[in-house]
Amino acid sequence: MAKSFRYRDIVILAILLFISFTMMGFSQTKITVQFKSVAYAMLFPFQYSGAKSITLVKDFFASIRNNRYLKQELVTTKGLLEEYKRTQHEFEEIKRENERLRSLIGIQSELEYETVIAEVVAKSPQNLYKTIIVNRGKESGIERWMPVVAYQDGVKCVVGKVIDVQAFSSRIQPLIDQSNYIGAMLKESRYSGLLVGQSPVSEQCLLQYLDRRATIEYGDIVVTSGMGGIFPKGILIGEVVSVSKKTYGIFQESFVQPKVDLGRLEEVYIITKRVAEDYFSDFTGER
Amino acid sequence: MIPVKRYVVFIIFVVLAIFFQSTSLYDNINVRNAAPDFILIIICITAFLSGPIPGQILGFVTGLVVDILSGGLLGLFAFTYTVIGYGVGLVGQRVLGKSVLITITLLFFVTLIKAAILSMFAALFLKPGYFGYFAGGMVFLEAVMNGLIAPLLFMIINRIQTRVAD
Repeated sequence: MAKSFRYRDIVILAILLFISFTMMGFSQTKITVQFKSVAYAMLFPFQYSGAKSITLVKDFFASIRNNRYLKQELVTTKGLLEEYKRTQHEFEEIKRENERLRSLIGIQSELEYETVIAEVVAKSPQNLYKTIIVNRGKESGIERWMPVVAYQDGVKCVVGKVIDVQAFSSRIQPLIDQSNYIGAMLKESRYSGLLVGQSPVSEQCLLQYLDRRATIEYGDIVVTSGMGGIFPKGILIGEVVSVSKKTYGIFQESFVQPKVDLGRLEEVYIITKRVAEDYFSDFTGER
Repeated sequence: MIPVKRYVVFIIFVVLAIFFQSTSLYDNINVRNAAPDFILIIICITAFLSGPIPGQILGFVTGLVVDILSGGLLGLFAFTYTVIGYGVGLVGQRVLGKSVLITITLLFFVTLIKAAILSMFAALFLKPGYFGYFAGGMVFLEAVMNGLIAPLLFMIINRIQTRVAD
């Protein structure tokens, strides 16, 4: 009896492992990707409501704790608002002057894209992947490969790109993910390279293929180069934290600490910049 | 007769763990990029208390849900949690309730096994760089955290499921 029971255990184990392994093998095929999408669309309402209710409990306690700081912040904010009003006026003047000078020397204004604000509703339940789920999808005009940015400490910085879109939700692959590549460059020296995520091994990114002649220093600012086809040029990525210059080869590389803090990300801005799907079919760089 | 009520307790706990790990709240308990895996702990406790079959089935279903929610390699967590559910179910029945130290040690090694399977298949099917997940020190930190949390969760779940079964 005990022997047959053990036999049954092993048969069930073998079946389950076979199914899992087969799914892994076919994970990148169209039918499996579609299955994942359909299954995720079914699970999303549960994940959304579950994660939302846990966040609500957290926010409730946080709001009680933060209440005493509100009055103090209100006074500070009023002061800042006055200052901003003055600055806004000056800014408008400078902007007009800038536009006029640009048109005089024949440079077109940088293209500005519209953004869709989205709320972070959930994230991957495992540390192996760092994907983020937001509450905007096809109904808001979101498409695959759209770039995502966030404002943290008053600075616009890169978060990642949209990799999967459902009707009312999208999945974002953050820049720290190993599968994420972004065309990047050093803000000061303008040398460009390819930024690759390192997660789950590290929260830092690796800036590869930098010209050996570039002088890179700790703290150098890294921005998007616009060459990858997804991100517009000039968005802040992070700061150089270490440089590795080997005695051979024509390139050097450096580690970059991303500016965005994914742990305290609540809202993101999806830039509605369309990237043609066939763009990736014969291009193996940023994707 | 199948103890449905007991299984419902395990399912509720595992669902709560998935929800919790999907929130930003989970990021707050990260230490050096490592955090306890409550899902793994609950699968282990289920296998511990109910044996290899419930352990591996819960492991498979939970792993599949995690795979779908993560958007990563489909079947990766299903495979890993199935192996763990079965393995812990076999070992657990021999050492069940013997000492807290055994629970801690078991969870420590189970976490290392989880990381080894995940990084091996992720490196094989996704990108070789994923192998660094196992090589990194954070896995050991996660293993220590899991080992320390497991006895407490074991006590809570065991008490609830015994009361429900009565």
